[in-house]
Amino acid sequence: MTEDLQEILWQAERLPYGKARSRALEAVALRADGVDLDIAFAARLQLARSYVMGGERRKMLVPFAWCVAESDKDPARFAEDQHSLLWAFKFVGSTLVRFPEVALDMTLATLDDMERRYRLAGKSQHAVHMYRHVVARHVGDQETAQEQFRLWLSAPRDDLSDCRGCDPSGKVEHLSALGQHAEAVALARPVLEGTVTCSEQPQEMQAMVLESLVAEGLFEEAAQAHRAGYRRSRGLARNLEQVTAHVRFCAATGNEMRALEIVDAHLPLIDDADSSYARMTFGAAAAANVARAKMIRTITRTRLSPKRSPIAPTIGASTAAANRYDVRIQPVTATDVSKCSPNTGNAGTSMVCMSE
Amino acid sequence: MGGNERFQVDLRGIVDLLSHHLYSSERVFVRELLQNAVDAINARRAFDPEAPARIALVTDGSALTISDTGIGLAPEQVGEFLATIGRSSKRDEWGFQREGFLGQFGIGLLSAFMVSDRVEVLTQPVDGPATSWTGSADGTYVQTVVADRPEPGTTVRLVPKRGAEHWFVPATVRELTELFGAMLPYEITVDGVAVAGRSLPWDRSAGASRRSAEIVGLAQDTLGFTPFDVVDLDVPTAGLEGVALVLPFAANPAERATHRVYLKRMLLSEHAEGLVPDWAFFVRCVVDTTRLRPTANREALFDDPLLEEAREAIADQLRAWLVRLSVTQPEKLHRFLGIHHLGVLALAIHDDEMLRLVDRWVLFETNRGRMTLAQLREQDGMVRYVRTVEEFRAIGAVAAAQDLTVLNGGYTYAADIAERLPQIDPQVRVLAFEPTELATSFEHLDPATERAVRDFVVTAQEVMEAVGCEVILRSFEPSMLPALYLVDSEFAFGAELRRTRDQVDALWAGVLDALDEEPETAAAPQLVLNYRSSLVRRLATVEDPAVVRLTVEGLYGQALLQGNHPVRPADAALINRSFLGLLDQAVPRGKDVDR
Repeated sequence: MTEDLQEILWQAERLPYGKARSRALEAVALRADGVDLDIAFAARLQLARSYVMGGERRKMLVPFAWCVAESDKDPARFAEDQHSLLWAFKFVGSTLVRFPEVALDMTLATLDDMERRYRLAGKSQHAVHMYRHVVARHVGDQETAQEQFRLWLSAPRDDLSDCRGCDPSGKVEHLSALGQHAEAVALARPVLEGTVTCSEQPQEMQAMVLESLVAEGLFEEAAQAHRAGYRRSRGLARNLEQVTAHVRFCAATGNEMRALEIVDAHLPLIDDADSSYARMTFGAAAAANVARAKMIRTITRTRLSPKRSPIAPTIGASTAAANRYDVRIQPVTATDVSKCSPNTGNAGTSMVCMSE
Repeated sequence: MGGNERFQVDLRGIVDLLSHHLYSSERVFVRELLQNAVDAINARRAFDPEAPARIALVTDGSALTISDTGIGLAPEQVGEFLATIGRSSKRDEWGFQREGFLGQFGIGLLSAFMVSDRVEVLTQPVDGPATSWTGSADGTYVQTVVADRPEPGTTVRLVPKRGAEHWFVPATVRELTELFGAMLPYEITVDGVAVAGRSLPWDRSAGASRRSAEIVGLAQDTLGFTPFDVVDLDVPTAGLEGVALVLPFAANPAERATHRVYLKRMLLSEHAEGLVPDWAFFVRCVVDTTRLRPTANREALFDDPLLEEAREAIADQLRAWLVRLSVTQPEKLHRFLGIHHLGVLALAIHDDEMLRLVDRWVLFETNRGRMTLAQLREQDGMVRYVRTVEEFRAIGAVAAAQDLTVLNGGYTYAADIAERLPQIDPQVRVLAFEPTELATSFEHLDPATERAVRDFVVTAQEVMEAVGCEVILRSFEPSMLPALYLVDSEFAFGAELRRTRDQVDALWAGVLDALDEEPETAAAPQLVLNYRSSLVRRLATVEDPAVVRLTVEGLYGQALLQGNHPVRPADAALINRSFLGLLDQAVPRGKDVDR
């Protein structure tokens, strides 16, 4: 019986990230319940990661919290999984900011828990500062964001830090938001030049650095990063945040029609986006671009593609999501997304480093 | 403050860095020496196209010499090139362009110190005196003018340092020379035996059949397989030519494909990454490039915009091959898809053209046989899919009996592909099929029957309350199936969320509560009893509530097992109780011998 469970767990783990993999792991976990606690634990720990990578972020907290509780009950039994479990804490920080339904104080409390557990395990606070920074930046608390950024930069790296490919992309995003574009570009360069890569890079960096490349006048490099990054991210709902960065880039550089093509290609996927945040920001960028494109159409009398899906529902849903964030977060961000600047709100880099 | 002082750089430290951190193995010293010789020959031929082009390696067990008929160095160049590390400006003044002579002579020679403590160079240009230069690993060198060589060129002589003797074994030198230099267009000999001078296998001047034999031979010799097909690659902007060899067996898509790359006909890497897009894991390429940039250790390709461009061009050529196959050799395409469908599906997730190919050619499993998505759409006008193999097994046969075609989305990429279909066909409806929707296609009982069996349904519902399951009574095919258990994935997730919430501490329980969205919308699992089954019809008339209870529990257990659903501890207890109870009912009473 248990060997069968082990075998179906291995089979599930061999599938590529996606819903099929997550469904298969769910089935393993259910079958193992009450039969084999070790398999039930292993399947759920995998499942937390699989949800994040497979486009169902909202669900990751369930298997994760289950594993935390089991590990607390019998730490010795799951000692070998301690590292993976601590690593998965990083998915929590990046997930909670993406769902306005989770109250801010609760999110901060999970960070305290993360800090406590990292300390107990004798780990560096490097990753903790990174996520404290992400949350502070997300809610517009510039002072805390800056302080946590400083601590993040100065804390020692260890085996729970994001890899050298992923770590800079969060930093690039922050520097870019502060207008420190030259620093952002310099930090991005090793990843863009391919000296450090991982499963998330360089496509994530290629999306994050676009604004800074443009601000620095590096148009050729920006176009290159856009082409390569978009090619890697497009077509999948779980990459919607990166796609959004490419929409903004095209819209901001006078390529409204290209932006419109990207919006059209991804509108059908919006219901399947893996977070409220991804839907909202895509909707905002799409709305802003459609408004510009309409204006241009009026001026140039060119016609937009007749196949286009209606965008009004997207704008509506996006505005609703923004309102939910407003309820949760003070100070508030803009509410009318079609008027908001392309850079409103920030949930940190869209993926989580998987180079555990 | 005086003028700018120079750093003192320790040669041993540099060599140590090279051997331990730059190069993956000391074996590259052979390639670096060959490269210096090739560069020197090229530089001489730039002025004199008729100049001889020979490279000779000689091993005598105690030393290795490599001689070339290249351009040779004048005395003033020797010190500049051989004893200066990392400077490039002077080279340009001397008129050696990086492209030709590469300007890497010094670095190339430096790598010789990985295997030798003493490097002797004897060099002479066409129109100047000969120079002898001997460098030592301690960072000193001696340079003298000596008697003329028999002909212009350069000879490098290495004596093994302690522990590096194995690099000087004649067989090893020969193998490494062959490995790195076999494609070089010049005469190369090791101890008098020729090892190179071969034309590139894909050279068309050899004639079509010879060429194809050369390519297949190359694949067999160096890669170990006979290719399923050969795709020609040609990317002029990258000066790249070669072949993509299609694997005749399934490759693991998660492993990064590596390729054999020659740079100006010198082997750069047997395992270069990044030459083809990730989706093309079904090919191994062998290419020669004149313009792509190597990394500093010359063991991999530098991932720059030019490589990106080459990768795009190669992707186009592979795509075109697939499309051509679909038009001219559909049977071969089917065989290809039989081997590599996973890669093609992975590709279709990002690429509309491949998605069209998959739509038309790849057979998917449905509950009404294997068919293409195009056939499925033509037949139904829509695509219904379930997300797991388990769900497919649980409902496939029953759905087919209701004339509903359901795609098994549980296999790798199948659901992702189905969800992408609207991007190539805006008319198509793609529906994630939740099992409980199946019940909506079942026939209701007529009102009179419904009234007659109401008490039975109420009793059955009470029984199933214990496992949180709703009971409904419908008529459906196949009539042999008495009961069907249907559960939606969303419901299952909601149940898991609430179970987990009840066992974690307050912090995480709060977080889970916040994420528990609209529990009302997900349909509860259903036990659908089939009124067309004579067992169920008879059961509906049974008066004894104990028998109804045991039988409904038994049907629930049977439906769980039939549908391959997980059996939770509560389910197992219920099935046990039912099984024993039914046995107890079945065995006649009153014959207990002990009584």
